[in-house]
This record gives sequence, structure tokens and C-alpha cells, in this order.
Amino acid sequence: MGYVKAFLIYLSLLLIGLLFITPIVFMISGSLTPDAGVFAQAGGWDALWSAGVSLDNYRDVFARVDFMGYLFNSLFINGMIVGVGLLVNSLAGYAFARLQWYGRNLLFKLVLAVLIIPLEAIAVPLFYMVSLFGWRDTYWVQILPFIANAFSIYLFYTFFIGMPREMEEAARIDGAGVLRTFYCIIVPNAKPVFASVAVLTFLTQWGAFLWPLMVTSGEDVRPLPLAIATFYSLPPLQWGDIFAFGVMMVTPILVLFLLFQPWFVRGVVTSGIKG
Amino acid sequence: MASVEYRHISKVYTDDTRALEDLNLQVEDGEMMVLVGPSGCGKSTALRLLAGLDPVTEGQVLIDGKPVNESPPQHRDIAMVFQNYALYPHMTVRDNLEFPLRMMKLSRMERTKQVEETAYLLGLSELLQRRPKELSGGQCQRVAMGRALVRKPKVFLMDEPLSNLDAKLRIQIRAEIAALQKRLGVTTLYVTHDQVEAMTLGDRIAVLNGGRLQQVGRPQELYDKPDNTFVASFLGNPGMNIFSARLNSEAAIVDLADGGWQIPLESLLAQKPQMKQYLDRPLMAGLRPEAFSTQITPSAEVVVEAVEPLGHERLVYFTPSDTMSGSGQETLVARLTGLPRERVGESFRVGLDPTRLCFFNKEGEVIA
Ligand SMILES: Nc1ncnc2c1ncn2[C@@H]1O[C@H](COP(=O)(O)OP(=O)(O)OP(=O)(O)O)[C@@H](O)[C@H]1O
Ligand SMILES: [Mg+2]
Repeated sequence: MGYVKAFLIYLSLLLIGLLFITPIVFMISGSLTPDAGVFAQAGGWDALWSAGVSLDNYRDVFARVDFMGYLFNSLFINGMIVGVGLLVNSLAGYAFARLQWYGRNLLFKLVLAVLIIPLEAIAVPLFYMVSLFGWRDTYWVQILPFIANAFSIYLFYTFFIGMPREMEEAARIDGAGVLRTFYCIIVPNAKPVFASVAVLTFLTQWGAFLWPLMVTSGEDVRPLPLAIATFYSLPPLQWGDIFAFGVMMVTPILVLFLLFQPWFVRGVVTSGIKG
Repeated sequence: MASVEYRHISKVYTDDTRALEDLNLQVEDGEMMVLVGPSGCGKSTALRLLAGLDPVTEGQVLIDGKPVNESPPQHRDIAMVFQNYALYPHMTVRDNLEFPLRMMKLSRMERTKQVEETAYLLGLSELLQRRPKELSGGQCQRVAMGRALVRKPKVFLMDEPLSNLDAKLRIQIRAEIAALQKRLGVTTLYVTHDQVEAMTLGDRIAVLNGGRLQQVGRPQELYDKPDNTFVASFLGNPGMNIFSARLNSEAAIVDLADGGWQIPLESLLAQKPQMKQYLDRPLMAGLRPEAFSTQITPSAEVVVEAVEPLGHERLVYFTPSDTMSGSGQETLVARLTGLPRERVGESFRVGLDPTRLCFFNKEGEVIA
């Protein structure tokens, strides 16, 4: 009985896994197939394996756009959003979770309220604002609006609230101030939440399209998702190139995820509290 | 080294819980003061106010005569051992011990020297490279003590430091703490709800109940002369027996436990003249379980309810058989030695030592 049950569970997991991986296999195999082949196979299962392996598509991508330039832009923008965001949002989460200050609860409710406002809703007024400041066509304008993030603050907040208080109190008594307690005691024991927030922020921002499209016009500061649009808008429409671009765009995310996976999965602090 | 004073301290938490009411308490330099009381009586709160972890609602906390209400924990030069030890899980034992010294900005050489001294003192030298999760409960406890002691604080606070240990270890470490405290002479506030711990460790004991200080004094003083029935029954295991008493002027006797024992009024008044004003008024008497004996008079016939053998002695629970029915007299307990002859449900004669009686008024406050 137990075996049958386990078998069924694994079988269904396998099927679901296959379902999720299929588009990615289409993409990888398509990226390796010469353009004529991609079109011929389109829509059939045989597209799952490449008709003939060639790196032409990858070569085309580099020929048609400044891929490395876009990649740098994307990495720089996202790196700043993630890096500065971790600093700002973790401190904010800590302040909400642990410090006593006037107006804290009201402000926290506001942060929670902001959670439900999508970017699309405020994109246009925000656009007016940054235009007034003269910030269009900069890295800055693509980074700044996304640093403070209500969802990240909320994640940090819930994690810090759940940490044993005595550890921080011990540090305070041992002579550490608030900030030192934060980075000597809290941060080292909060790696999982830092990893989660980093990965989640990176994932949501890596594919950002609307906002960069609105606020940038030159190639200099545009990120990858805008470059892929070039392939759709400039004929001839070459699917192989698009696939190759896609593969190269997804790879950094996978690398990042694998890098953080040990922390990301563990997700729980090992605490020094016994008994 | 330092003295500590609570001056008219009240603490009301944000949810309107009154945790402490007008606490006045002085701890002398080098003294071991034990705060004891039932759960929720405000013991931890008292420590947290002194440590600066929570703000004071009213009154002043003084260290060495200086008010410290406004200074944050890191400026008060105190150390604390928490009930769950609160070690830093990501640091080795060495780093845990070193952390307070780093905060003092001592040189590396100085730090190493002090960490190693402290580790030696507490028998932790072999464990310096371990992390907290690789330690036993007793070892964690020692590390927590070490971390508190290493920088030689003015005041040392301990909040139920032994409550997560097994009984044997608790007794062993209790003795170690007492020895260490005497040797280092650090002013210490020690919180426990265990009255045995309080009696054995404290130079003085402060008994709290419901946020109010009940009595402060040396352990034996509190044990022999409790200020009220709460202290009487809280200290000792089992606590003091409390039963009714009446000074009957007509018959010239003191009637104990509703007709249980009787002693001549004369002899009592000779001993405690201030009792005169309580003639013929309902009172309460208290007697320690060990002040009962089968060998002495006055004695009375009582009915055994239960016997708990403890090896070298036994606890005998009984009700006075002469008790008027419905008087609500509670079960009393005697600590007896010698050959056990009592059987449950049968009666036997037990006497008491009248010189060890305490008397309380209706409000439970001591008279004599
Ligand atoms: N942060 C808080 N907010 C509100 N009420 C609190 C807080 N901390 C403690 N209290 C309340 O204050 C009272 C005293 O608590 P305290 O922790 O000082 O008791 P205690 O004597 O240490 O008890 P225990 O032996 O169980 O540790 C209790 O009624 C408790 O519920
Ligand atoms: Mg407590």
C-alpha cells in the first residue's frame, strides 16, 4: 500500500515537473536550431529536440544588439535594487518589529496598504514626477522607485518579530547599541530571509518592462527585456534569435537561485535557545 | 561593584497590566539579593527595569546612588543571564564570551586573556571552539554565566538561570553560583520562583506577590518571622501551616485549630505581651511542619489523611479530629522523623511546640 501511494505521488510530481519544464526545453532546443528549422517544427512535439545543433542564433543576437551592454545595464540596475533594497528594507522591517517610536503603528499600516498598489496604477503619475525632476534616461530612475519595497519590509518584519527577543536584549546589555545589535546579532541569524528577499526582488525586477520603457529612450541605460522587444519589432521575425536571447536572459536567474538555494530552502534560523 | 536601589518604582505595561506597585528595595554592594514569588508577580519586570530593557513608569532606579532611568542598557554596566541563556547561535563559545569585551573596545590581547580566565573559572576551556547548539543545557548555562561575568560588571542579574536544568545539575550549579558570587563579590539580583533556591542562595530575600513587595530580609528571618501569611506559606516546602486561633479569656486558654490544641493563655502572654489586645478576637496562627512532634505536649488527637515518606523523614497530612464540623479547617502537615506509626484513616496524637507559633490578624499580617 505504502509503495503504491509513494509511486502515485512521485508520478504526479514528475508529470507536474515535466509540464513546467516543457517551455524551457522548447526554448533551449529552439535556440540551437537554425531559423528555417524553428519555423518548420513550430507547434509540433518534435520541437522538443533540436533538428541540428548550431550556435547561429546566439551569434545573431550579438550581431543585432549590444547584448553585453544590455546585460550590464540589467545586472547593474537589479544589483542596486537588490543590494540597497536589502539594506533599507531590513532596517525598516527591524524598526517596525522592535523599536518603539512615535507613529510606528500608523506608518506600518500605511506600508501594508502600499502592498496592494500595483506599479501600473501609479506608473503615470510617477512618470510625471521623475520627468519634472529631469531624471529620465538614467540608471537612477530605474533603481530609486524600487528600493523601498513594502513586500520586502513585510517579509523582514515577520521574520524579525519571530526571532527570540532575549538574544537582542543580551546584546544590548553586553554593550551593543541598536545598529551594532542589528548587524552583529540579527543579520547573521537572518540569512534565510535576506536570501529570500534577494531572490524574490531579483525575480520580480529582472523582467521589468513597462517602467523602463516609459522612462528611457536611448539604448545606453535600457535593460534586457527592452532589447528582446527589438527582435519582435524589427523584421524579419527570427524565432531562433528570440529563443537564444531568452536562454541568455534566464541563465543569470538560474545561477542566482542555485547560489542562494541552500539558505533559501532552509528558511529557519538555528537558534541558540535551548529547552 | 555597586549598590542598587529601587525607589517608589511602579511599572504599568502598555496593555495596562500593573506589573509592579511602589517597589522600594535596596541592594547593598556585593550582596546577593534573591527576588522570589509566584509566576507573574513581577520578578522579571524588576530585573528588566534595572537592566534598562523596559522603561520605568514611575519612580527611580539607582545604581551607585545615581539615577539611571534615562540611560540605555549598554551604558549601565550590568550583565544578565537569561532563563533560556540567549547565547548567540552563530558564534562559538569563545566569540560569545568575547562579545562584551569587543563592545568595550579592549585590545585583542586583553580580550584573549580575560576570555581564557573566565573559561577556566567556569570549566569551559575545552569548549571554546564549539557553537551553542553543540553544547548541553548545563554547558550553555555556564557559557551564559561566563558571558555575563567576563567583563566584571557592576551588577549581575540572573533570571531563573537554573530552571531549564535537571534537578541534580540544578543543585550542583546552584552551589557553584553561590561560591562564585562570594568569591567575586559582585552585587547580584537573582530571580527565582523556587523557594529552596531562594533560601540557599540569598544573603537576603525579597518576596513579591502581585507586583507588591511582601517582605525583605535574611532567609532565616523570613522563615521564622514572616510578616504575613503569604510569606509564611510561600517559603518552606511545604509552607507554614495556617489555622484558626482564639485567645479565650474566660477559660484562660489559647484555642488552636477550633479545639485541636490548647495552651495556657498565661504562658503565651508572658512570651508575647502585645497579644493582649487580641483577646477573644478571631486570629490565625501559623506553625512550621517541623514544629509538630509526637514527643511533645500539648498534644491532640488527629486523623491521618496521607503520608509521604521522604526517606529520612515523612510528611504526614492530617485534620484535627476535634474540629467542629463545617468549620472549614484545612488539612495540616507535619514533618516527622523516627519510626512511622501513622496509618491513613486512623488517628494518632501529635503535639506542637508553642514557642514556634506565629500569629496573624484577619488581614493576614503578623501580630507576634
Ligand atoms: N511585555 C509585557 N506586556 C504586558 N504585560 C507584561 C509584559 N511582560 C510581563 N507582563 C505582565 O506583567 C506581570 C509580571 O510579569 P513578570 O514577567 O515580571 O512576572 P514574573 O514574576 O517574572 O513571572 P514568571 O515567574 O512566570 O517569570 C505579568 O502579569 C505579566 O503578564
Ligand atoms: Mg519571569
